[in-house]
Amino acid sequence: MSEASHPTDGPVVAHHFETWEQHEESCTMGMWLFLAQEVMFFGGMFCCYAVYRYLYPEAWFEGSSALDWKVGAFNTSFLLLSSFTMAMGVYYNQTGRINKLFGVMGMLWATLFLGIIFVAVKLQFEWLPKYQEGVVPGTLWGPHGHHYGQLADFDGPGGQGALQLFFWLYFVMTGMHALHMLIGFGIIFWLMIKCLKGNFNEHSYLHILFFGLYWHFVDIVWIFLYPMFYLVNPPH
Amino acid sequence: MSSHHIVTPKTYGTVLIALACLMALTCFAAKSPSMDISPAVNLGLALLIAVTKTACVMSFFMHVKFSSKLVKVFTITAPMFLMILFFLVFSDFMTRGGSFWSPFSTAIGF
Repeated sequence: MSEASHPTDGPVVAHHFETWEQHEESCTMGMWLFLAQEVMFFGGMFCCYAVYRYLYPEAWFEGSSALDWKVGAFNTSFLLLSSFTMAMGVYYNQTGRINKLFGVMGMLWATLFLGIIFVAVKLQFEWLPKYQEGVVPGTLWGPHGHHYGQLADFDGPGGQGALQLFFWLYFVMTGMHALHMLIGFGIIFWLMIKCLKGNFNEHSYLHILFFGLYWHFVDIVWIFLYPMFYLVNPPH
Repeated sequence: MSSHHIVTPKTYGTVLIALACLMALTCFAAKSPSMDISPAVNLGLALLIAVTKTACVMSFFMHVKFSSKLVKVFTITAPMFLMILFFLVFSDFMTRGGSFWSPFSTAIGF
């Protein structure tokens, strides 16, 4: 993206582009290529998930039953809402409203707030109880307690090993998703600083637009993670 | 005003309502006893709803509907390669241990 000065009477075209349309199209394609490699990154994990779900459907149902789908639904709604606020941030940038409550700054705060709720709920109500009750794949594995005690009785195909595979994929995939959100929080702070410096106006919106693409991608990953982990139906 | 296509707040709001309805439908399809058809059908339904939600997000929130054809091609490259990955991996796993259809027919409940 261009490091050119901040325009007031039209978009500034970087020196290696001939027109603004060429500049914008090139940057947009670059961002989509970045997202393509992100899709392949998460896609490999989804492929791993699909193989083991195919091999151990009983363990997948048992593991999924131990997850609280209502907490997942609560979190999903917050993430969808954060995608909306981010999209509105792009709209406000394109219409020139920057440092206002109903402007880019307000929408970045809202997106950050909703994202933090998502991660906090995940930590407090999902990961922490699992750690405390032994639902940690590997040497710490030993489900017990009120929420996860029934997992210790599972002796279906694959046994406890298959259950550990489910929770290993659960922690890795939701963990990588949460890591992407944390990276997003950092970028939001950076964009807020740029807002305060007056770097954005109706002609300079690519930073917000492309961060929006990243945030919506993170939302899409969760759209698939939620039914794949929380809503597994029993094998007949 | 921006030279990029501007999507109105009304459109964004409509998409948000559609996404909320689809999320409720996902939960209903998975948790309602009346929807407990077969594992394959329920999985297919969950994936169909997820793909529909993704299409809504990409089309409007990510402005793909209003982008050039070249950008549209870029957006489908990774999903296409992902489908090749899934095809190759499952053409291996589903043909292990004897007959091609036996593990598949067990998986889908026939």
